[in-house]
Amino acid sequence: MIKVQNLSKVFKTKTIETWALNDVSLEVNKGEFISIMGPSGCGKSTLLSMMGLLDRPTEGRIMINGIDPTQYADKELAKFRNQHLGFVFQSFHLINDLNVKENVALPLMYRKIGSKEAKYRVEEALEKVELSHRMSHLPSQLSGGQRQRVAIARAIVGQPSILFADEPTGNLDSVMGEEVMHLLMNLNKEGTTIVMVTHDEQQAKMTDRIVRIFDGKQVSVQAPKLDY
Amino acid sequence: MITYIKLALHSLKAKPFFTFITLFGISLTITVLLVVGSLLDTTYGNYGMEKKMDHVLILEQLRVTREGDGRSSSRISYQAYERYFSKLKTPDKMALMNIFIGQEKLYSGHHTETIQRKEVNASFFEIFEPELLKGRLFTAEEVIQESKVVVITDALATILFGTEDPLGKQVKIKSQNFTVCGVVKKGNSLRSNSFADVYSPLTKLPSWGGNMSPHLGGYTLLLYFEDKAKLEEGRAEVHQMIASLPLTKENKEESISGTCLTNIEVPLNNLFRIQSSTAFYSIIIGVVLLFMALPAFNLVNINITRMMERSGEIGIRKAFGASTWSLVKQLLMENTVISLLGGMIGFVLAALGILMINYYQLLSVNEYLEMNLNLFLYGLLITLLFSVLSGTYPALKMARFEIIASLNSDKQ
Repeated sequence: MIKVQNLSKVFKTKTIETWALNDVSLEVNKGEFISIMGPSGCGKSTLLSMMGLLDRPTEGRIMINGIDPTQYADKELAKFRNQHLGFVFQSFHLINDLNVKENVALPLMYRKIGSKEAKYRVEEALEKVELSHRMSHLPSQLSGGQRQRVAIARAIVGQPSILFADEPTGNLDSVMGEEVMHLLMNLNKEGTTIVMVTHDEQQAKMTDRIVRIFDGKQVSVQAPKLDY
Repeated sequence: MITYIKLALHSLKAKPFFTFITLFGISLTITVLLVVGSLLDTTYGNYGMEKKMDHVLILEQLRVTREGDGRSSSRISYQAYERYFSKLKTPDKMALMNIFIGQEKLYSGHHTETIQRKEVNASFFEIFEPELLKGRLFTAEEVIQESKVVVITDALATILFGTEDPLGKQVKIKSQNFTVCGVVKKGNSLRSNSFADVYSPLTKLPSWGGNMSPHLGGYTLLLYFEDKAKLEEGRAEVHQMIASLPLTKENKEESISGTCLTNIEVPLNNLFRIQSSTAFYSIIIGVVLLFMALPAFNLVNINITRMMERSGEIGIRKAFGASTWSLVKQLLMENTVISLLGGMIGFVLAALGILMINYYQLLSVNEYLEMNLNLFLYGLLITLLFSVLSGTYPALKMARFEIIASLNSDKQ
């Protein structure tokens, strides 16, 4: 489903060249849940951004469903992201001026979709994360766990085939983190492919595979899924 | 579209201080532009009695140069009209008028009123078509005979005669008695070509004599063309006629020239000797743009600051499928909505300002500003121009933000 080939990312300033990723290759199969682990600054979030087409690689290719979307122009790339990919971030990244319903509906805004259909999908997504009763609340009126659940609802409202989660439990306490992990596991069971960056060894062990990154390079791949 | 408008209103509600500052700047600019626009439009627009003014050429001045550095300039004399200009072939109608610059006293019973009077020929009423309320306008025959009849405005009739019928009543101007033959609706004195309190038949004054050219006098000639396309042909004919006017050798006259202008060419000609309607419109557009530039740049600055604050939101939107173009559209729509809101406030303030100017007669007696649909449409155009001027650059700048950098700047 996702094929990453010899991926490198270099950040350049006038005087310094930093290799955030160096020749990483990786494959993610359809319906798989993989986690990417490594110390801070090792390049795991950069890898996720590249795979999620949020940033362009310096070198290498990313194939998603046999297509290389990095070759797309801005408009096509935006459309591809909108239709195939979903994102959950550590800092939630909700728009504070919009309420829960409006935040969740955001990906649908950039699709040609009727308002009734959009409303139905938003309600369905919020039901899945058990936040139907908070539809008109602003993000500032929610707890961290609830915000992350809203972010998950936003990520799945467009029914993407791949979900990228960048430390989704990083800003949550253990109980809320567990709730969010539970949600992601359920989504994966329903068929969504998930790529998650995490620091938490326990959470990583719940996934199908663990990809370990160190200093911009992939160092190992493990397959230790535990029963949950 | 509706979603973008909703988003725009949402974003404006979310930042009330920014919204206030922006609305204040836009509405104040639009207010000033509309009030000044109203003054120009009332003065030079084709409305009221002057609704056909764009079909008219005005021969205001002749300039006669004499040997050495002697030069005289004035309006034309009655003789010049009678002998030469009345024979012009291209105009469909010609109005001749003698404008009494300054004011005159009118006496009627125990009333003494300061009035503005125009002596005109009968064609004047065919070109300007005042709204006749009572009686009749004077005829060409009465102009030839210099009959002592006058047409007065309804406002003057009320002052002089109250509810009594003014027709047939006597008024005295410059020790001469006139009989009121008609009452017309009062015009706006900003429309100086047609405005008067009293219209009387033209008196045929002799040339000034002495060493003045016999072509110079106190009459203004208005040439009316049914077909506007014939204006230039008419102008050429007038200029040809001026060039062929005989010079008086005893006065050592060397040359004679004159300017035949449309109404909107008059101010620039008077100020800078520029005779072009294109220049008039260009200067107006230039001044409007210049006047708008300062608040627009200010708004660009505010918009950029505000958009920097919203870079997180831009990153989020991009991550979930917004293309650069859809973001530009969204941001421009926000700017358009706020500009239109500012424009509407500006319209209301301008209307109130104009009402106040008219109510307290802040310009001058008989001068009042008017607002019409055209002005409203121009205002709308200016407002939209404002939104494009102040929104495009910040929108383009913001839409080009990198997603990751934008997300990293997002403070949750």
